[in-house]
Amino acid sequence: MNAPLQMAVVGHTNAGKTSLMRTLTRKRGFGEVSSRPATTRHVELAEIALGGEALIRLYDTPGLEDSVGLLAHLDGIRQRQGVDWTQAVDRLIADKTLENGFGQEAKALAQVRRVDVALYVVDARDPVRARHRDELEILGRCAVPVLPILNFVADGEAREDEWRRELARKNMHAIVAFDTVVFDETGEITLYAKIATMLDRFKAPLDRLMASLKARRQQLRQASARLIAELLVDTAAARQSYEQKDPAAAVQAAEHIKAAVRTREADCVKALIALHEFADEDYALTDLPIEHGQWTEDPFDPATLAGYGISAGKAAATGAAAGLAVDLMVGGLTLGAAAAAGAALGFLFDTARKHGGKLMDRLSGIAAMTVSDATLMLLATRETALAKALLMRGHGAVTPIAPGAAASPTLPRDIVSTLKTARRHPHWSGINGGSALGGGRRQEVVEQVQKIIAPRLQ
Amino acid sequence: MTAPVKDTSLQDSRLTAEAMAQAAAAPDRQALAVARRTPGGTEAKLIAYFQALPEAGATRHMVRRVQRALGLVMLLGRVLALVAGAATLRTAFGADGGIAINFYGAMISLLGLNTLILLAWAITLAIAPRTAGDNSLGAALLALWRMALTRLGGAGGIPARAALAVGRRVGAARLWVASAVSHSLWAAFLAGACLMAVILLSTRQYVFRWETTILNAESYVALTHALAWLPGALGLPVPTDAAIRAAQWHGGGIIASADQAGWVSLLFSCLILYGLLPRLALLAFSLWRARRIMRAPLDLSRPEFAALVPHLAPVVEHTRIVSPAPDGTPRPAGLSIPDATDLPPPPGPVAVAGWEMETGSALPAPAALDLGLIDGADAMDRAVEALKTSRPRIARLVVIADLSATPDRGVTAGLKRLNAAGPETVMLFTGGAALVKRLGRPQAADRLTDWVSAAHAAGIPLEHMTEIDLADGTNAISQWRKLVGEPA
Repeated sequence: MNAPLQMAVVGHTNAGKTSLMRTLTRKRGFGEVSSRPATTRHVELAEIALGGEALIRLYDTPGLEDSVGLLAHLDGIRQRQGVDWTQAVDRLIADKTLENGFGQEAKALAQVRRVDVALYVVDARDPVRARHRDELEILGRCAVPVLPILNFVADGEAREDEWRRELARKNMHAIVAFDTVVFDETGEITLYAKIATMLDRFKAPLDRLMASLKARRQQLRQASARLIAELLVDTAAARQSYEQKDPAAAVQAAEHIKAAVRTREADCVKALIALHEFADEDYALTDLPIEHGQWTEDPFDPATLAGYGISAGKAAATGAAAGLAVDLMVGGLTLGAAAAAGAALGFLFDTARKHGGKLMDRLSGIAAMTVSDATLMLLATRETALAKALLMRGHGAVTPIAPGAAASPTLPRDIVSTLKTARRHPHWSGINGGSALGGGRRQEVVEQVQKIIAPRLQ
Repeated sequence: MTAPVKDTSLQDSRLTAEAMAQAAAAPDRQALAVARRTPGGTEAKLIAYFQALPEAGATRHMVRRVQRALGLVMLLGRVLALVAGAATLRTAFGADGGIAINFYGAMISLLGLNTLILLAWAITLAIAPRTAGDNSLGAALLALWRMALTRLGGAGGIPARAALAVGRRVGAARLWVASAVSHSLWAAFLAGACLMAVILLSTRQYVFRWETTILNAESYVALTHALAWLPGALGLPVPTDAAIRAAQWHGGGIIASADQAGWVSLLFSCLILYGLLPRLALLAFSLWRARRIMRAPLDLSRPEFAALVPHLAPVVEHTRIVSPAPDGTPRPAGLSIPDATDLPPPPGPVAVAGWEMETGSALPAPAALDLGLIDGADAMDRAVEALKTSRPRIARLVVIADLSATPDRGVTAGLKRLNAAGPETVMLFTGGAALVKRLGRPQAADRLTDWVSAAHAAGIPLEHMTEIDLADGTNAISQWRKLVGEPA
């Protein structure tokens, strides 16, 4: 086993060093993050491991504060003691008197001198100032490769170009734009890829790490899409029968199915949040209207549909049945296409099982409440929006991600037509009591819906 | 630690994990610890995790039982098909005890339906593979399976979960499972027929014949040649031309044919070459395809597994503080500064310097001396020099600081130098509204406090600090004018 790659995260105070640590380590609780200066005053180590093997040792360091004064101080040491810059840095580190007033900077620089690469974090919203130039000057004299990380690039006020120009003047051409709040998976991969080119002896482990990060990301996307697809199939297959002649029964059935769908959706929200390793109590997780793990807008309220730009359709029911559809149809159950030769036995059996119940209902004057297509569309849209927001939220974020970053995705109507199959199989739905049964066909419909949603989570 | 597991055992472990994953539960600490110690990839760790849960033994047992039960059902089906095949042959050979066998009649009853269904299978597979899996004999079995599942009580119990896990894997491969079931039943049917043929032909004397009412004899000769082509090519005995012609029955008594061996050989050749062998080959192929799907590794993108993955192999196992923080001075809380209107007018000419912001056009009105943005050691030297040499002497220095920057010790050091340059120093903090937008109100208030305490540490008294948002139009202009001594 090779020695792990050692990296120090350095930068001006409040540039987002600890946020970068949190994002890279996926640990929300790492260190302390605030908008105040000198929040981190210690050096903290986190080991990034893959399959039990430590690949990277990542050190969070206190912020550099008075770099202008520090550069002058180092220059003083250099001239007085007749040593070179790197030696001057080492003398500063060795000076334990703290009378020089640079204890915090010395701590950070001591760590920089011990690692393989320093990640220099800048808040790209800041204009380039003398303090930054002096910090780069000092880091450049530590005899360690420096990789600048432009943080907060997703912010409208970011001055990315200005920073790139300035860093180029310092001969730093390998730069990574990586927002710790609005998570960008390519940014993280680029970060490791750049380090791999700078330090090619670590290329093999870094390649493995990158591959695993990509796989995990894909896993999360697919799992999120799967959770949403399961919700949609459960909801589409949900039905509540009632005596057709009894208006009170219709209202009761409507209320029953609505309550079940709301609960089912809340479960989906909970599962999505847990899947992405966030917790309900995370302060303002997204800017989406979710409170205590539940959407504040009712999925059966026509106003909610309008808010998502979904047309409730011309036959939109109102009152108790809003967002629901009443199923009285027996037609449309064509037997034709599927009746392939030799398939008769299984086919007839299946058909009787599928449609026999409905036929019986029809004959006995029983109708069923199901969830309307518009409501299905709404559930699909807003759960996808949530999954997207969660995928984009860096673990370093302490505020909700900016509005617009997770704008409602537009989903194709294919979802509804794919879910039509589920409507014919009440036993596919966990909502109808018991667990969702159904063999390969249900699984296939879930996977089809998953396939439609997953690309929208990119 | 773990011995290399056998294929079936691995398959059982996967099914066990899938069965147990259905019961949503918070991650079990002890099982997680076991999983983390397990070497290998994510799947191995996942399997180890579920294996370490208390219900693992019972679930695994049930998974095996479910599979065995399925196997038994299949065995029963094959036995029935075998018997059916034997019975069909018995009928075709003349259940009435006759000794003349109509060769083509037997062929049609033994191979006709088989071939038709085989063709139907191939066509459905080519045209609509999904329908093939759904609507065939296999699908009927799956439907029965689902009903059995419902009987098992749906959710909750270990039996239901085990059955569902097995059912899901079978269901995922249902197209090939259904094909395999169909091929294996037909293979058993044909094997039964062959077996019965051996028994009957060994114990009784039969004569093969053929007959026709409307067709001519030549077409039967040609048909027999066509059937006999493959067996003949393989070197198996087939009826000679003479034997074929001699076997025609014109009514009346039984014709004794000299060449029964050729007919018997052709019968077995047809049953095996055109019936049994294709079915067995397709059975092997379907089984291979079905197994490949059913033995797929755990799908890590399933939410139940994906949620566990980071716990099994955490990106960061532990963190520790390498170098502790020094005993710091506590943060000041709520240092209050006066409103701009409470500051006295300047006692003389005013100089302006920008800290973290450009001056010049950003100012509502010019001051007597504009030192510009003080950024870095050289700019600081120039500013201090200008303050010392400017005539008439500067009475007040207004340092404008942009609140969007984080104050640090560098700020304190710089302000200390400016404050020592001569004139009284007034701190003006600006950009408050933009900061509230960026950070929110409470954090923006903290930022102001940090700036005030940084300036205070530089020796600037609190009563010489104020906040004016220069972007705030006319209000800002009048306050600014008062501060720099311009007539309002």
